[in-house]
Amino acid sequence: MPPPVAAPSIAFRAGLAILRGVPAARAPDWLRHDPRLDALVAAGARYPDLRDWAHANDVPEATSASNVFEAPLLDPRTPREAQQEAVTRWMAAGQRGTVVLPTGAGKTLVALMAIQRTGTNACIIVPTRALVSQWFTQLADAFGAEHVGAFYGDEKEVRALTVTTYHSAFTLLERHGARFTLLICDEVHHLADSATGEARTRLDALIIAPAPHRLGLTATYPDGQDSWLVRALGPVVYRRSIGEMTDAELARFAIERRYVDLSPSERARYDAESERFETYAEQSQWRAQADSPDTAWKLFAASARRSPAARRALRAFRERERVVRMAEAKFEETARVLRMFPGEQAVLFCGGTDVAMEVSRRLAIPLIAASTPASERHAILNAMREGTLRAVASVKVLDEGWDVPNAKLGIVLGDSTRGGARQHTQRLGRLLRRQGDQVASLFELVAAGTWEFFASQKRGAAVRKVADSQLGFGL
Amino acid sequence: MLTRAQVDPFVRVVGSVLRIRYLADPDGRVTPFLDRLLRLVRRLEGRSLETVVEALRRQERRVRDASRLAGISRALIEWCDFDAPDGARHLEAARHEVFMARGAIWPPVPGDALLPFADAAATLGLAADVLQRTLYDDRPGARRLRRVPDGDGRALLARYNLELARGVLRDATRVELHTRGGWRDVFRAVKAAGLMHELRREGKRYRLVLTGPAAAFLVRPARYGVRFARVLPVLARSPGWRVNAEVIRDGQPCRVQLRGRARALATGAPVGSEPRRERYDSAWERRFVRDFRASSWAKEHGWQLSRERSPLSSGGAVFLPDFTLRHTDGREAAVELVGFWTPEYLTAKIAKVRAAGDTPLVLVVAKALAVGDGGSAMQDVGGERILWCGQHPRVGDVMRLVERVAKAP
Repeated sequence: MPPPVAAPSIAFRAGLAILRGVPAARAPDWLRHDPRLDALVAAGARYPDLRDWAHANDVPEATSASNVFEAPLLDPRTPREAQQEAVTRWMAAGQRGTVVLPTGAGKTLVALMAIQRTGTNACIIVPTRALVSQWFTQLADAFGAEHVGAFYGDEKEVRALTVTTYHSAFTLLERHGARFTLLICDEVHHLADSATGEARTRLDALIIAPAPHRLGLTATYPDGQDSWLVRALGPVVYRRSIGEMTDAELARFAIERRYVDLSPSERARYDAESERFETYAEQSQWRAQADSPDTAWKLFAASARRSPAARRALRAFRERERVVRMAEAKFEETARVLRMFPGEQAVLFCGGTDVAMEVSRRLAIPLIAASTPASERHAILNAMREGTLRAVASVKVLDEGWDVPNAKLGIVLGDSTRGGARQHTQRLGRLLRRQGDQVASLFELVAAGTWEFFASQKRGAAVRKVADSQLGFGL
Repeated sequence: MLTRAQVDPFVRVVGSVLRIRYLADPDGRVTPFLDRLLRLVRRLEGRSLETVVEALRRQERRVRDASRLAGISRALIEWCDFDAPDGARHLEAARHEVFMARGAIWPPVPGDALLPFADAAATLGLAADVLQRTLYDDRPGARRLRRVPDGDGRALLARYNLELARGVLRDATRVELHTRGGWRDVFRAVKAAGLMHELRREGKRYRLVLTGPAAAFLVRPARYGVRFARVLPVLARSPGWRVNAEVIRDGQPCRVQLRGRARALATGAPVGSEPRRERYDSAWERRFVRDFRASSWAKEHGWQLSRERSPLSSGGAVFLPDFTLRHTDGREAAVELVGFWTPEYLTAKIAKVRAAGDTPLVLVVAKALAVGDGGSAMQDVGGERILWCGQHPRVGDVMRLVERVAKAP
């Protein structure tokens, strides 16, 4: 390695903690030489350690910015005991770690208090664009809009408090990471060890971020699957379960499953497509070709690439799903349920964009999907909060983290995970924020005599666990 | 960019080398099919993106491999221009009005479905049921096909193959670029992508090594792959381009080499479009080249002008001069012409020339082309590699300075 010639200095750049002008022998041993920069480097997350070392060794910081944030917290809510305790524990743990509170228990207020207590700039990372809008509004209400920015597909404005998505966080922190001393990660169960593919790479943003203080928030902590989480954010510092908080903090709820019939023409279509699909399945025996249903399905889908017969079967399968998703009776039943609760605000959880758009057109209620422009999403969420809109339809965007305290009626028209437990629990969680003695109602609309019956059974089993911990209500 | 499902079936790893099965046309049946797809899409001009996608999908019955068709369709769609349908820009406001009206007429009862649409529809001059039907016509899938490029099936084939190559780079951790020209655009693309680069000279040619700054520390070291892929279409417009990349495939590192048209023509699988001829940045540059070629002096003294724009490393930055002048004895010098200039711009240029150390580089500045005040003061700035001229540089003056500074690489 050539001897360094630059004056000693440390810097954060492009996700790297960089030490220049100091021989490797005198530098911390966790740094490695990077020939591209002719400097010693580590991942950005080690920058706080490098800064401590630099202070102790009189090495100046080449790029230092003031990250002090002193705007007062203007939230009229009085923190509950659980929220106070959560923040106190997190501060005591060195301002690192995860707080686990049930949906509706006020995790956002915990984050706002953490920002105020640390008094530094913060980057808030959330899973969806809808949540960016929601966090933006809550931060603006609490600290003033002039301090809040959003950084994701539609907007890229970096301010003292900047909200971003897990998808955009890497780019934000790579370029502007040095501006944030506190990192708040919402819904951190997405960072579980079991996450695969793109979901797993969300950790990269935390690996390059130089922020020393980190707060994770979730209602469903991935116990036993958290080794990466602990490394990136710290351990769980506070936890309250839904059972410990029912009555005191969360609304009680009731779930009702309503069966609807397909129309004669829909039934004929459903049966014909089912027949086409099942005939192929029987002839090709693809279900018997693998140990697990998931693997067998993957093999079948792959075979559709080269086999016209498999392609026709796959199309029949999709058409069958579409018939169930778009069943006429579901739209009628939705309107009926809305009429049963004329005073309630409602969320319509849909299984696909096509059905969400259709219900939006038929009932003239707004839709929030991934492609909804930021301005429109913002306006819809605000109008829901103010009560001028009475219902909103969504595909997956509003499944988790989203918060309209007054919405106590949910209608599930379909799911995107064929009976996935987490999605259903998260959807129920949207309705559980306590508002006086109001009871949350979740209606599931199921097309009778179709595959949807089995998906509904799976969902029900998952929710029963939650229901068991509450008194007097349930399936 | 193609999806993984559209790329993976055409990629295989042999030993540690990744090979791409480009689409070739050995028996002359593929190109007519692609021509047919283009004709089909041209007939759909004015229709929605969703309609075009569905029409292309229906061609599945004519092909053996649906993934191939899906990839070609995507490459074709990304080649076309789509824009929002007429009136789409009013729809967000119209929806707001409709939804607020529904908020006031709550809950929905049988027979009132069109009631909330009435006022907003009247504002737009539409019937309520038309607004109901077109309420989301500003969605991406409703964009209308406005223009299909003039290219033929052969051009679509080359474009699809380039997209396959880009898809492979998505998993790259390190990329080496080689080209005989077009450096300016390539550097612009590299800079915009936020990649780290190292320039290495090999004889008369250059190699640009690109890496992701923090790749070594990430869960997914190939995270910068999408950025590498962004540079490829720019590189593919350069003559003689070549890429050597390190790629992670199924968790295993392997190598892949991508090349442009020269090699691909032999296999019947062109990759990328025709190399673009480099344009002149200014009439000033064009005139200098014309004067040089007309001058007998340069030829008699063994000098040749090349527009390769070979990059130079200068004080940690990369400097792209306008020309390289090469002597038959192997000596060479780079020439940078400064047309219109401000004192700030010229100061930065001169600093770069000085930072280039003993690199043979000549800066030619026109006194007459100073912009704004302060230009006269700058004209005192001298240096043995800076040549001040009047309105236009004289070839003889430039060549005398080049003779003084040129040296063998």
